[in-house]
Amino acid sequence: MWVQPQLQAPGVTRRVLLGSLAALLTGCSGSGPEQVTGALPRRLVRFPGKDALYLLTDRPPQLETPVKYFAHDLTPNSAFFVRWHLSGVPTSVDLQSFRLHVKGHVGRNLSLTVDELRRRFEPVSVVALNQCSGNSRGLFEPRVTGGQWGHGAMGNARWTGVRLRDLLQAAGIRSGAVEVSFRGLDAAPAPGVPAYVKTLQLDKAQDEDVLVAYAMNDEPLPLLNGFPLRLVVPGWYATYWVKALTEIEVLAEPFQGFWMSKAYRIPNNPNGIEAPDQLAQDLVPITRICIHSIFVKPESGERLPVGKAIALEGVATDGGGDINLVEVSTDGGANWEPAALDASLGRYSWRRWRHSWTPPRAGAYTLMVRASNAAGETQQQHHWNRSGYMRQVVESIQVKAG
Amino acid sequence: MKMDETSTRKTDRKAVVPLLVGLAVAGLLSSCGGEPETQEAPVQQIAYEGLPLGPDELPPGPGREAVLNACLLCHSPAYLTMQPPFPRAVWEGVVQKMVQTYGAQVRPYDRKLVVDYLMSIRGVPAKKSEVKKDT
Repeated sequence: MWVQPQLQAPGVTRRVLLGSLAALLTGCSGSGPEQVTGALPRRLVRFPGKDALYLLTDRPPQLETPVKYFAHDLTPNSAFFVRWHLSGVPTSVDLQSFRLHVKGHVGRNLSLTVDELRRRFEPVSVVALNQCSGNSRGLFEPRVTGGQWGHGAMGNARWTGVRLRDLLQAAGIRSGAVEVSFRGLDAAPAPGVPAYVKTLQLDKAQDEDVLVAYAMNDEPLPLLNGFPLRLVVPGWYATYWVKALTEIEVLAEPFQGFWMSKAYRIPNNPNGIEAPDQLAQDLVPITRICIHSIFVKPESGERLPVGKAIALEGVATDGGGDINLVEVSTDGGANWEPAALDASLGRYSWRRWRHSWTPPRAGAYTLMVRASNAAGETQQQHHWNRSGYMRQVVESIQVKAG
Repeated sequence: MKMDETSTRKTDRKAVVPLLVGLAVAGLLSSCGGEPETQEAPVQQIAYEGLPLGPDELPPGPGREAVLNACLLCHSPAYLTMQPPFPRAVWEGVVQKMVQTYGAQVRPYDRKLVVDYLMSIRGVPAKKSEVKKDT
């Protein structure tokens, strides 16, 4: 009996199966090249438990959410983007034998079932944006290597779990601890490939907002999004949100692993900027999500009627700085008007915006959007780094009226 | 609760990449402490069978065999085919990174073949790349 995780109430699930990807790939509803913003060619595929999403790679699974899903406050689990680093992804998890281990520089090791985790610790929920560091990488100019994502390597969800801080307290952090590492069930396909291990500095790990989540939008996490447990670091990029989390280790020495010391590093300045002909020497781990905004409707290339009010809408994203202004230009950036903001779903959520616009005459239009927040952050006209991280360029779309 | 009969039937199919699946399953069991199942347990599913791991989406050309050997243990060909065109120096850097930091097993002679092939499918011709080479 194969149990679909998203169809079950939390606590009931015993075992979930990824099932046969092959059948679902061949049964995909879309085929042939598709376009997303920025004219990137894409193929739609349907993985187990997922809607038809854009395929970047099948091994490891990397799936991008079509922007149309961002018209919802919360991104449906079935449409939420997927990004694994190692091809040995967990294809089933047995909750009978699964344990979350807390170990290392602690007073006593913990080994918890998901049920024990839920019973012993206070539940907490937060609506938070989960965004890939390389979201929108495919739009970088000059182009950079890596997963060629459009704007769909992100999603907004309600995460429910327990505070990491409470877990660490139960284990008892010993003096001299400096960092906490996180590891999931995913396995490297070959001996030389570094295991996917991420760390947080001890003070960040004790932040009350950081959770070990067992539910996403009030359902168990989809297997492809980290069932049964996922680290949730609101306001920080998804690279820290370790999926299928099974091991938390408190470290007394600074961590030297590949995924912190070599990968996911940005130029050491607030916006992670460098120039192709002057690469930064000083690199630091990426952390907080930068400010950005996109159109959800219309999509680039749409044809609109003349003289009729069009509902423009989209989302503005940041790392918890309280987005308080979104401006829209319908004339290529010459004039800007403030958009209306939907009610806030919390500081770590994205902020939805809307603006009504009536194309005055037939012709081509460049629509632009830019966001600012209470922390004084705003978007850049130009932004580049070699890794295609933290895109914060003011985005444009082209539409035609008439 | 829902039965997914399609998946059940697929378990009988032969694995295309038993090594990879074996590693993934082994990792899973060891991290679970290898405790015996008390409930009736379904057979471990194999997820990767039949996926387009293969070479089909890589066009023919010199060096293709070297790419199959060097790259596809860890990732699908789509990682290559989704890339925009880059100058040779960029592709050389990518191959070096795969060998040095990701442990890709590629003989020195094959490295050149891999870069040649990447240039043939996603290369910027030398003339244009001269501009960027100085960077």
